[in-house]
Amino acid sequence: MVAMIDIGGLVFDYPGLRALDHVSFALEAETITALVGPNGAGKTTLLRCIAGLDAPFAGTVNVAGVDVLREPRASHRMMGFLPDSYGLYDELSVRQCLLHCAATLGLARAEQAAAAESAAGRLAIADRMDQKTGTLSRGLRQRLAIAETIVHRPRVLLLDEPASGLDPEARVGLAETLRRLREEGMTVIVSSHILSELEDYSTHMLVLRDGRLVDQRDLAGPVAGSAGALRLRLVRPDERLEPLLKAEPDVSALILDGLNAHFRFRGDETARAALLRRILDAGVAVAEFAAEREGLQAAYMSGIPPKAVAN
Amino acid sequence: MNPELRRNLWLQFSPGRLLLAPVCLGLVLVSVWIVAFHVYNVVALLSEGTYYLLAVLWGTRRAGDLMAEEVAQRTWDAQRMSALGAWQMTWGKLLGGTSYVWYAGGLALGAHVAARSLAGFPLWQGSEAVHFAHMLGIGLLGQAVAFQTSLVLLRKQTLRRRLGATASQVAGLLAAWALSGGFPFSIAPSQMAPVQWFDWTVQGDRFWLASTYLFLAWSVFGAYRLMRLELQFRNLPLGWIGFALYLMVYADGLLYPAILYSEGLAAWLIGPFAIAIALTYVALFAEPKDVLRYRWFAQALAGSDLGQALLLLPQWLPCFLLAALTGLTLCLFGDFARLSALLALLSRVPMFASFGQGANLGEFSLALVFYLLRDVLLVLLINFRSRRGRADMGAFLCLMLLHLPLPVILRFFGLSDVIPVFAPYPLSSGLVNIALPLVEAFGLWWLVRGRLQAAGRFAAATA
Repeated sequence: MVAMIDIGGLVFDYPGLRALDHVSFALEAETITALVGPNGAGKTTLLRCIAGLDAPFAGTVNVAGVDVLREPRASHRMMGFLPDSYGLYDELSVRQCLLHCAATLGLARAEQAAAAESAAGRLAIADRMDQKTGTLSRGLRQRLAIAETIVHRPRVLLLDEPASGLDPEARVGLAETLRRLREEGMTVIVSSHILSELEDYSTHMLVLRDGRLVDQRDLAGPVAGSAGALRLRLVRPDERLEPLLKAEPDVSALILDGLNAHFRFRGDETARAALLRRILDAGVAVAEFAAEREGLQAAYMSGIPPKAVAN
Repeated sequence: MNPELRRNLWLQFSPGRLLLAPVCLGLVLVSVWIVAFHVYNVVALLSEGTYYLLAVLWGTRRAGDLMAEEVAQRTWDAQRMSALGAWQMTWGKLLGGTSYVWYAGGLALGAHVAARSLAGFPLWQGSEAVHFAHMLGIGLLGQAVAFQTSLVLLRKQTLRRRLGATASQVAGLLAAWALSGGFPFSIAPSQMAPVQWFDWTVQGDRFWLASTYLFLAWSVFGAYRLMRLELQFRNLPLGWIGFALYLMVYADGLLYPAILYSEGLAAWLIGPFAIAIALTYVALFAEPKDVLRYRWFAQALAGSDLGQALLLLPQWLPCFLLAALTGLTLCLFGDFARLSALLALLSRVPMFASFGQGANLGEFSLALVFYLLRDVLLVLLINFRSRRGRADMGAFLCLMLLHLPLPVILRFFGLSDVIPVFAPYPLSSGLVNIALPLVEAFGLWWLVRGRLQAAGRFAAATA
């Protein structure tokens, strides 16, 4: 696996406070990673270090093969960052804002207009191009801010609390936008301490606590050594299923619900295939057998001690 | 086109604003021309004054507000995320942000040149062209210094919209005034006194013109270097050291007649010594004094990582070393015979009385270095407190009290012997003047070291 974002031994200090304590991780391309943790865990500091806005005391930050600490300006050509408290030039039109960003992010003059139109189209603000930024609603400003960060088609997008202050409709729109950007090949990190906000679109999760990385997992599948969620759907009700699953040592948290069985299973894909074979051999008619997408809240709660969750 | 320049042009110009400046200026100047019985010199003087109001007074305000505006609008992080280079960002912002000022100021300057020509002083006459170029330079210099100051404040994280812009404007105005040669209006330049700089005697207006553009170049260079730091580039301290050396040579050039009179090494070194001391204080207060950065610097030194140590080097340190070097040279090899005689003459002026009564200027120079060291450590100690707040303001007040009112009050009450506890006193013995600040500096170093160590003991991040 070639990591799109590769962080090694990152240390960042404030006087009397170690905000990032030897944080290391790697993220694959075309993923959306939820960066979660309680307030003050170091999420914003980590994002600012990845973006090359703050210099850590020690460690390495590589984005798409570029050493961010050595070449911060070069890395910005392939990265977009939306800070928690972003600003816009209220006196400029949406078009001027996007053209300015396209130019400052290194696009050639001939490409700038098309890039601005494209970014506006992707964020559904193409009909506002000649409107002054200062007259936009909060949701539209948020979309413009994201459009500015993706106008140069970055390979990596960093968003710090992007949904704060948005109404429910705008949040749904944001989720759709992020999923679309991922499908287009972008790697996204979204920081928030509101897990429900990240639930819809995250594929991976990083948990920070007290400046340390305490968990990293793929939300679509089980983490090595831990139990992943599985769902089994029967063709017809079958009494043999419950004792069969209860007899399996790696099965836990079994819930039977009519034709459906939900349970957690500790084991890799080979072990999962063997489990399915044993169920089929027992004569149980199986219609579906699949990994169940684990809820972010459940994953977060299972990954860290309860006291860390309290804000 | 530079994207930052283009953005500023979009913000600065609208059809209405394009019309506003020429219409207003034209109406005022034509009415004055009519009222003043068609005397072009009056129009020239008024347009010149208008130019200074626009380019210097308003221009320094605009330049000082450019960074504060970005911070207040929360757009600076997005700018820092751009791929623009530091030089593009510097000149795009400085010229773009003041473009309307230059549009209006340029009209006033054009009106001034036209009126002077009509009054019989065409531009191609030597002194007119020099004065025109000087006017332009003063405007540019004031704005560049204001912009540079706002970058200094931004780096210290003390750039608040109004206060920061005002402080930057004041710095720009002071620089413009200092390099104007006294009275910058066109009726006076030919009357400016000639200036002797080393062996050259230069006509006043030409000397100040050259000085203005040299300092303008340094100011723009300084702004560029600060912008590099903002954009996460790394700077070696060579630019600041270069400026310190330039200023020393510049000052010695102006002091040359006194150097010729005084003879000897001391006369050559007194100017640079004073400059090095002044720049140590300037750098000390201009830089952020982050305790962790000093800790990293100490760790880099301890680990013999000279490259990293140079990148983290506090800017006051090279100036302090220059002050120590010149001070020590003055103490060991300075010949103050002529200078003491000159100061003895000055002793008739009460303020300088101490110097005429046998003060040992060599030892006193060394004492000044130790007092400087004590002051530096005191400022660092105050800044290294865990709750920094307005540390620099507190440190500045502390130094002011130590050096100004306390010695005067102690002397008034006949307690002159106690003065060296607080500030250098020429009439005290050399040993007292050197030993006391050394002891104080040692005590302060012990406390500073404790703060540096404490900064490395980290509390867990709190929720």
